[in-house]
Amino acid sequence: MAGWMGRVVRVDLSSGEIRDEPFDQDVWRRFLGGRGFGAKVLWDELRPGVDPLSPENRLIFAVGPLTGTTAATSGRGSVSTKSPLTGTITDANTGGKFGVIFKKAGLDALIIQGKAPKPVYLLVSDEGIQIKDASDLWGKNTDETTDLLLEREGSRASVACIGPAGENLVRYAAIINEKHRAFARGGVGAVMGSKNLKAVVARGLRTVEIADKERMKFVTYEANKWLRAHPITSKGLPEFGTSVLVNIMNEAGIFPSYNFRQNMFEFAEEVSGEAITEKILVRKDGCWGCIIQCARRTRIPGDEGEGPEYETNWALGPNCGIHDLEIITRANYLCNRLGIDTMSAGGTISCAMEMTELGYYDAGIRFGEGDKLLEYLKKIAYREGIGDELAEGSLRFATKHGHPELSMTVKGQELAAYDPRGAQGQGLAYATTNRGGCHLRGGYLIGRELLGVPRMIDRFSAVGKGSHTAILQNLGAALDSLVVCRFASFALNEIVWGRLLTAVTGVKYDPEDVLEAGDRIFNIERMFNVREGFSRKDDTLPRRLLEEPAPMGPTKGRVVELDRMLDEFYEFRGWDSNGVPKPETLRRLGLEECLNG
Amino acid sequence: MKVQCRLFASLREKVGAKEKLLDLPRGARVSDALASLGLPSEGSYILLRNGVHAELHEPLSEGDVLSVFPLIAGG
Ligand code: SF4
Repeated sequence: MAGWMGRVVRVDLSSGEIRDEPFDQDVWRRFLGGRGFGAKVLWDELRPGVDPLSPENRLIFAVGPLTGTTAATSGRGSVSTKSPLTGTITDANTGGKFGVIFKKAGLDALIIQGKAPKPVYLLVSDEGIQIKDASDLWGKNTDETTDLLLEREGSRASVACIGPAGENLVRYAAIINEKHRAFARGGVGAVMGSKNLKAVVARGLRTVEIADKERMKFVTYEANKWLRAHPITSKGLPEFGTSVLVNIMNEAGIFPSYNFRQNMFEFAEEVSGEAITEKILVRKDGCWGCIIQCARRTRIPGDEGEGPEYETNWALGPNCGIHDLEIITRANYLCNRLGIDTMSAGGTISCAMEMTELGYYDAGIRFGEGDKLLEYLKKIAYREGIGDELAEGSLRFATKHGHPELSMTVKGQELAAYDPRGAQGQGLAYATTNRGGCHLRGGYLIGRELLGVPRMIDRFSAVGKGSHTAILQNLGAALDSLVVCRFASFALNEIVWGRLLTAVTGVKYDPEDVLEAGDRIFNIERMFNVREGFSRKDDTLPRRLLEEPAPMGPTKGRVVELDRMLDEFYEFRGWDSNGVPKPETLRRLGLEECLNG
Repeated sequence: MKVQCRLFASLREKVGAKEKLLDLPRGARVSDALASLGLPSEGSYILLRNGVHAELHEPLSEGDVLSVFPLIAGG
C-alpha cells in the first residue's frame, strides 16, 4: 500500500493482548491519519462520560500518509485521547523524529487501552511489538528514562516517555520524545501514567511506499523551493526561532503578562527571540528532514537543552511576571525532564500568583518569583504540598478557592500567548477549539490578524471572522492528520498538500478534498464533545477577556465581541445556534456514523 | 517632524540600530521613513504605526512610533 503502511495494532495493557486490527482503507482516506484517525477511533469506541484516567480510555499514537516521506516537515507524530484536563477530545503533535521511526517500524497507528498491572513500556519495532517491564524506570525523569531505554533497545530507537508528572497523574502532564520534544498539551502524559505505561520505544527501518515517485520528486522540489523562497520559512523562523514573536505581539499590545492582567510586558525585549540569539543560543536545530530549522539549541550556566519556544517562554516568563531568560530556560528544561506541559504549568502558576496578590488565597508565590517557579514545578510534578492542588490545572484550583474567573482557560485548558482583546478572530478561535484553550487547534488567526500571512485582515473587527476561523481550523485539522508541521503552511497552501498527498498515496486529493477532510475531522471531534455534554455555553472565554477592557497601548479599551462572532461561525459551519452540527452538515461530510450518535 | 523608529530581528543588523529617531519633513509617509533608514520599500515588512498595522503610503505624524519587522511568524 502506498503512503499508509496498512497496519494498525491494538494493545490491551490489562490482558497483555496484542493484536492486528483490520485496516479499513476507507477510514484512512476519509480521516487521513494522525489526529483524524485518533478522532475516529475515539468516536467509535469511547462511551460518553468515561473517566479519562480510567483503563477504558484509549491512547492512540498515529502517523499520517506523508510521515517519513520527502514531503516538507513530515517528521512529526500525533497522539489522541480523551483529556483529563478538559474532558474533551484532545490530540497532541510532536516534532523530533519519533513519528518517523514509529512509521518505519511498519505501523500507521497503535491503539492502547486498559491498564498494566505494573509499570511497562512498549517496544514497537519492525520485528514485532512487545510489552516489557519498566519497574526500574518508574520514578525516573525523561532524560534518564530515554538514556536507559536507548542503551537497552539500541541507539537507533526513538523514545517517547513520561516523567514523574505523568506517573503522578498531573492533569497536564506531557509525553516527551528525544528528551526535548513534547506531545505537550491536554494531559496525554497523565493518560499514559494512568495505564502504567512509562514509554513507547519505536525502532525500525521500513520505508514508505510512494505511489508516483516521479511526481513526488517534482512536487517535493517545488514545495521546497517555496519554503526556501518564502521570507518566513527561509529567514524569519530559522534566524530567530519562534520567540521572534515576543516583540511584535508586545508592540501591538496583545502580549499578555501577569496572568493577562496586562496586555503588554515592560520587559519584553529581555525575553525576545533577539535576546535568545544574543545570550543563550548554541545553534539552530530542527525536526527530522526539515529544512526550516526553527528549533533552538541553547545553553545556560550548568545546563544545555532546547528552547524556550515562544509559547513556553511566555507562559513561564512574562505571564508569571518573570523576565530572567536564564530562569525561564531552566524552567523549560525542568518541565521537559519532569514531563509537564509548559503552557498549562505556566498558566496554572500565574493563576496562583494572582490569587495570592489579590489576597484571595495564599498560594505562597507571587508574580516575578523565578526561583520559586522552579520549586513549584517540582512540587507539581510530585504533587507535594500546594503542588497537589496545582497539578489539577488552574480552573480546578481557582474554582476550589472561589475565583474561577482568574483561570485563564477555555474548557479548562490554559490559553496561549496572544491577548484576543486585540485580535478578535483569535478570541473566536480560542473559544471554539475542540481541545480547549489553544492557538493552533482553534485556528491561528494571528497569522492573518497580525503577521499578514497570507494577507492582513483587520484585527479589531469582529465581522467576517467566523469564516476565516472555520477555514483555518479545517486546514489545521488536515495538516495535523497528514501529519505535517503547522509552520510549513506559512508558505504552502492546500494546493501543494493535495498534490503531495496524491503523489504519495495514489488517491486523488484536490485542494477542496484536503479542506473537506479537515472539516470532517473537526466535526467528528465536535460531535465527540457534544456527546460529552459540551455546547455553546462552553464556547466562551475567561470573563476578563469579555468584560475587562485591555488596559494598555494600541489595544487599550477593547474586549472580545464573542457572541456576534459565534453566531456567524456556527452559521458558516452548518451548526445550530447551540453549536451542534446539523444532520445535513454531517451528511455533507459523509459522517454517517455521527447521525444516530 | 520627529518619528521614532524601532527595528526588530534581522533589520537591527541591516540598519545597525535597535531604534532611530528620524527627523522627517511634514507630510512624510511610512515609505519615506523606510528610505531614511536605508531599507528598500519593495522589501517585505510588517509595519506598525503606534502599534497598529500601517501601509507604505500612509502619512506619518509628529511623535509617531513606527515599528518595523521583517516577515516573521511562530506560534
Ligand atoms: S518548522 Fe520547526 S517545528 Fe516545524 S518541522 Fe521544522 S523544525 Fe520542526
